[in-house]
Amino acid sequence: MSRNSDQNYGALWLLTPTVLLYVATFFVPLIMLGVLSFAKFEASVTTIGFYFDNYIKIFSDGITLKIFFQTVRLSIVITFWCLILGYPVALLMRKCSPKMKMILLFCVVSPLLTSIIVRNVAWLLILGRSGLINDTLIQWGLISRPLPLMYNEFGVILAVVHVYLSFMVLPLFGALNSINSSIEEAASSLGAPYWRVFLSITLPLSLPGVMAGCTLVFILSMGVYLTPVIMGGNFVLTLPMLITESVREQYDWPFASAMALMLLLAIGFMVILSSGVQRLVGRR
Amino acid sequence: MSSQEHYGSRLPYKFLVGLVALVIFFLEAPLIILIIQSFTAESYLAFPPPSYGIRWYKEVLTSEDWLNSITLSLTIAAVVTPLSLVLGTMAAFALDRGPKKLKHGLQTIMIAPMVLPHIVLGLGLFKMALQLDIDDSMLAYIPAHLTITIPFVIISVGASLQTFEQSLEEAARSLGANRFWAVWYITLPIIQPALIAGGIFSFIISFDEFIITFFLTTFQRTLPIEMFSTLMYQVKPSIAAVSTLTLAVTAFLTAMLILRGQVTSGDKVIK
Amino acid sequence: MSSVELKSIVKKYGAVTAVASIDLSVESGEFVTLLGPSGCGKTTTLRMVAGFIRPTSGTLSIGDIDMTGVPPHQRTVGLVFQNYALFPHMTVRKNVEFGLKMQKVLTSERGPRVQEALELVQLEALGERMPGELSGGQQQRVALARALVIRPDVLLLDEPFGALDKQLRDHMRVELRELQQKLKISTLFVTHDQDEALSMSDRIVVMSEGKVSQVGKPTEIYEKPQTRFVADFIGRSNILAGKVENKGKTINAEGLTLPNKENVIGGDEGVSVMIRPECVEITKSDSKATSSSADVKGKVTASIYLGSIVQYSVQINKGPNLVVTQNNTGSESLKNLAIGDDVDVSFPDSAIYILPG
Repeated sequence: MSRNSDQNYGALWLLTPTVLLYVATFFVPLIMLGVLSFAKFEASVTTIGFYFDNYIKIFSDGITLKIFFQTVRLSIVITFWCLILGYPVALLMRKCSPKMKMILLFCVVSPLLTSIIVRNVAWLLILGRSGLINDTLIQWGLISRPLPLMYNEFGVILAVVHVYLSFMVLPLFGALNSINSSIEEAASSLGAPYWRVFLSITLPLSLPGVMAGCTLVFILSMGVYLTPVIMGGNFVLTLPMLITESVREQYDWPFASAMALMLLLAIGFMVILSSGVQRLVGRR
Repeated sequence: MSSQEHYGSRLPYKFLVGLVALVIFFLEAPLIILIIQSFTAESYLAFPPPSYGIRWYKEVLTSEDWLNSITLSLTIAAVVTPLSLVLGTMAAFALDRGPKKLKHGLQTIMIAPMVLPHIVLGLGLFKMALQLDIDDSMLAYIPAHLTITIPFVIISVGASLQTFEQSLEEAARSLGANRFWAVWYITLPIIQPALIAGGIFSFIISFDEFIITFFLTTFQRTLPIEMFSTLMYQVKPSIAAVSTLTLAVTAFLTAMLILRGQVTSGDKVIK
Repeated sequence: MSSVELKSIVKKYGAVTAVASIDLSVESGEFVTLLGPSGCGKTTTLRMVAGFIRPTSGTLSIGDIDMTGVPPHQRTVGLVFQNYALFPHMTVRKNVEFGLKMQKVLTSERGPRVQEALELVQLEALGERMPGELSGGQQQRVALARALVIRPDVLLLDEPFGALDKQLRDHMRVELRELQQKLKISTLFVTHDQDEALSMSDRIVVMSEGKVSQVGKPTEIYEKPQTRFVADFIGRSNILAGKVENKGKTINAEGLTLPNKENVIGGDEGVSVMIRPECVEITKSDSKATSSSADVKGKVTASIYLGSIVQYSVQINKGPNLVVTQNNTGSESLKNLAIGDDVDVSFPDSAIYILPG
């Protein structure tokens, strides 16, 4: 049935308020950041121009690049753990009873709607020096001095995984759900044991979901500010922390902008990589 | 169809359930511990609390700092939610009814703020706010929060519009309703679950938002920012009480969301 | 005054022509059907009358008022969809009332009019039900009531019975026709089902590929098709290629010699001869039968049992295959014609129809 295509373009005006908003809050600011990244910052004075100072500084000051790679490394580890822990949940959600599915869904979705601070506070109270774990272990006489569970990478990774696990589970669940279970049933009826069915059929077919989830968690982990600050203090430094410090304490906008752009580039690179992998896998 | 029939024996399924139970425990236990700890009558946090009471809830709800920050957060969220619903729904309609060729590209642009790390968004918004001299004010918070909530509304409403039967609107129009009234009387009531979901998401995202608001504020404090400052200063049970209060609101809204059936595997794949 | 008048209406989508210049009118109280295969442009035409599609060129009047650019909500048309399009979140009563609400009819007047409309379709008792609780037939009736209550200038129906089962469909056709005649409401009906068109219409407009093939009363369309397409589309037909011979006295139709009763000239291309299958009689060769036309012998090559009729393929004199249908009167001799049987074939001269062109 032919839709009234004459009026198709007319509907577009409904986008204007949002587009105008985005221009002011999103497009223009990003351009400003881009321009700023090429500005010079000397003695608290910012001169707009086309200087590579900031970028050079990033690569040569010894700290920034180190922290950048540390952030990337942490993000990869976090993504890995989210995948390991999240895949079983998505698997079960697909195969369980409707009632259990609702409960699981609630458990998986509620983190998305819970303040990150609250979640971090919860871990603070558990992992801290006088937190739950240390308190209990000392009380039971198992250790004499508190374990360093916080203010190190362990605490940061644990807490970030806790925050972003749901972002891995949902795309995974989506991908697993769209797999036609009759393929697995067919393999199973032909005599393949469950682990075989999983490895040869389920896992490969769920790869798009895996890629989507991993990309998402990676992007989020690269950009997270709060959790590393709360759980890592000054002992675990991330790029977002550098950016924030640069702006709020040193007022060095050009440098902060350059780092922000670097962050975006790293993320963009990851996205391209993952869609490239997806296409490769898809071709097989 | 029994789920066990997928596997040769029941063992793997039970193993899976056990594994998932551990993960869920990992996810939820810390929060439950937090909630319990918030009801301590002591002046320090311990699990289990030596004595119980609602002393810290009273303290939070009578403290000027906490109340101010709660009020600010609620106010921002209360303004952002309806605006976000209106703008997001309009955008979703534009995408659904507009030229099909442009849909994919336009949709990517409309969803883009969701994909960008908030730290970068916050940086840009702060710069913009400074330029216009509106930092540390509602004039900055509202547009900022709208930018991160509208994409969710677009996704939620957009998904609903895709499955919406357009002949219903045509029937309304043939009976004398112009395009607007047809949408008002027919389409909107039918896609109500999507609107509710979008509204709940917008509210919570705005209420819980930290980093962007952190950049934009100087003297004002939203609830997350107040919590952050308190944390950095000293860990008192009041933080547990505030957290529990926030959790209660969130849990309630999430339950509403799921019970209304709007959150299914199809609707909530965040990309 | 004609209720609907289309003059030179054309609809193009870029390079694709959906409707290529049609002229059409629906007189007051008339039931006109647009009949044709999918893609012929009938639905596009209907939607142009409703106002959802804007014609590329041409004029469209409803009730003698030019409505060419007017949006749907400003036209008083009653539209009935194939999928009923009942508002699922409103009761039956509220569904029917919707049009009155949009017309800003006084609240006090709405109740009685809704009641009246529901009575017309015999659904007065179901006013408080939700559409989801009704059967297909009931939903269709509500859709009808909803369209009629606003007292439209013309009733537009787009294959409304397509989703109903056969029994219900036949029943609804009769009901709709009776209702239409009682209310004397001008109606434009779209279908691809020729039985529907033949049984309900005052006039049929046969369409193909965006153009009108023929307009006429059902009897004209069926018995005197003007093109090969119409002859093929409506009912089953046998169409033979023929040549005028014998100084114009006979026509040689693929081996059959037929009298040239209409004295057609027929050029070099020859003529097309149509014989409706139900007009042909066949009897087994060894029983006595008289024929008024040429003594034609044939052999049964296929037989299909369709319940009330039996359809045979009969090869004539080792020449063309004729499709013959016989009413199933219960006579064993008729039903038991088997493949390979020799039969005598006969048909009256009046069954011979020569297609123009």
